[in-house]
Amino acid sequence: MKYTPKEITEEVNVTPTHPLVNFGYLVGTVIVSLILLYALMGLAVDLVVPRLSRETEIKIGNALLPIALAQFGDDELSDDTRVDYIESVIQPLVGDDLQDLPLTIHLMDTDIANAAIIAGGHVFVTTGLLEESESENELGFILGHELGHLASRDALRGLGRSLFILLGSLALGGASSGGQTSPLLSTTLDLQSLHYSRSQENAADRYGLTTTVQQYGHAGYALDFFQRNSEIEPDFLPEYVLTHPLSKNRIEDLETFATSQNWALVGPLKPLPENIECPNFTCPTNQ
Amino acid sequence: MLDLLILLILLAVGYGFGSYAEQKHYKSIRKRERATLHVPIITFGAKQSMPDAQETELFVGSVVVASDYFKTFALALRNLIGGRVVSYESLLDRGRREALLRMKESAIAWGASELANVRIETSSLSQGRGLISIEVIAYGTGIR
Repeated sequence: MKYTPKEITEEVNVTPTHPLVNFGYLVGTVIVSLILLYALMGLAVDLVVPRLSRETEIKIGNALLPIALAQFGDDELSDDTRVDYIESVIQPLVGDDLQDLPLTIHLMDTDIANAAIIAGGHVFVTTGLLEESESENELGFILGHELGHLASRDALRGLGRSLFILLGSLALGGASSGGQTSPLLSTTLDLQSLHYSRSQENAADRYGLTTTVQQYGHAGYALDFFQRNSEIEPDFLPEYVLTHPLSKNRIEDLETFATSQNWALVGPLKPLPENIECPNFTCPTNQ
Repeated sequence: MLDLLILLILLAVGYGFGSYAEQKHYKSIRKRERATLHVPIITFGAKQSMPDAQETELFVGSVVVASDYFKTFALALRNLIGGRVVSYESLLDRGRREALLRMKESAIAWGASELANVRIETSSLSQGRGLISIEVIAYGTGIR
């Protein structure tokens, strides 16, 4: 048989699609799926949060702890006897719904008066708050308010979509391997900008007041912190531009709530221990 | 934002240089394929008698073709959803044809009248993540 050379003219091995068209299709598919996933994750937070087990919540809390500590200035006073005092204030406030969640108190040395919680029962109290508080009733209400956030898992909800990143990295076992938290997480969690919705705040307020009344028998002095805040808050701004409800409105709401529950709005003040502003309740004597 | 800009620049550079090199390469491949068309590549089975030959020699043609940033990026995206990697099809096609041509051209230079039992093999030279370049090697027996 004679061999007649014939040129191959068809390119069957290369798809005739233009590479840019193909690339556009790829990028489009990936972007559309990411947008869908993002939207779904946002919707799924409220479904997932109530279903998380306590163990998972504690694990998430432990993974977030280093970031939270850093955002409070990383200056924890763990050996201070004031931690035991805060514990003695908060423990009686813990209701049945939180009995299975061990609380850890972190006393942070900073002048900013603040209290916060993160998932897993970590309660942060600043020395600034202890200095500013004028009674145990007031401190109890603030701690009760934070317990309210803990009970309704607002901190977990507040994580939003980062919750899924956290759950994913926990499932892979690498959320905080060797004390190192994934850099992805530290950018997604910002406690300073973390705020709860107004209805979450109001629910936590009511929870805090309920526990305070159960503990002290009345609501007197509990709202002093708000009272002082309302004096410095601008009242010419409409509430919807603020992240937090106005203290004035919170007081009004709580007083209406207390009246409807037939709670006494006045009662005896339970003072704070002396020298609460100083480490271990011991102030330098030479002043 | 800066990261995105760098990515876009890399993609543009990869696409620009990559497709320019590819077009040039295909032009050369087609030209040389026409020029070497007169030497047939044939395959003999175990029970067939070999053609008459005075001399035989092994010829090897091998080529390494690099991917470009655009192709690699498209591959990474394709890996997410699966399917035909269009951008790599032409890369491998070029590699196979270039390796065959190099083998054929050296056989023709030696004076081969035909090439028997040609085989083609491919391997990837990968460096950590992503496919960086491919190697294609073609070998066969030249007969004269």
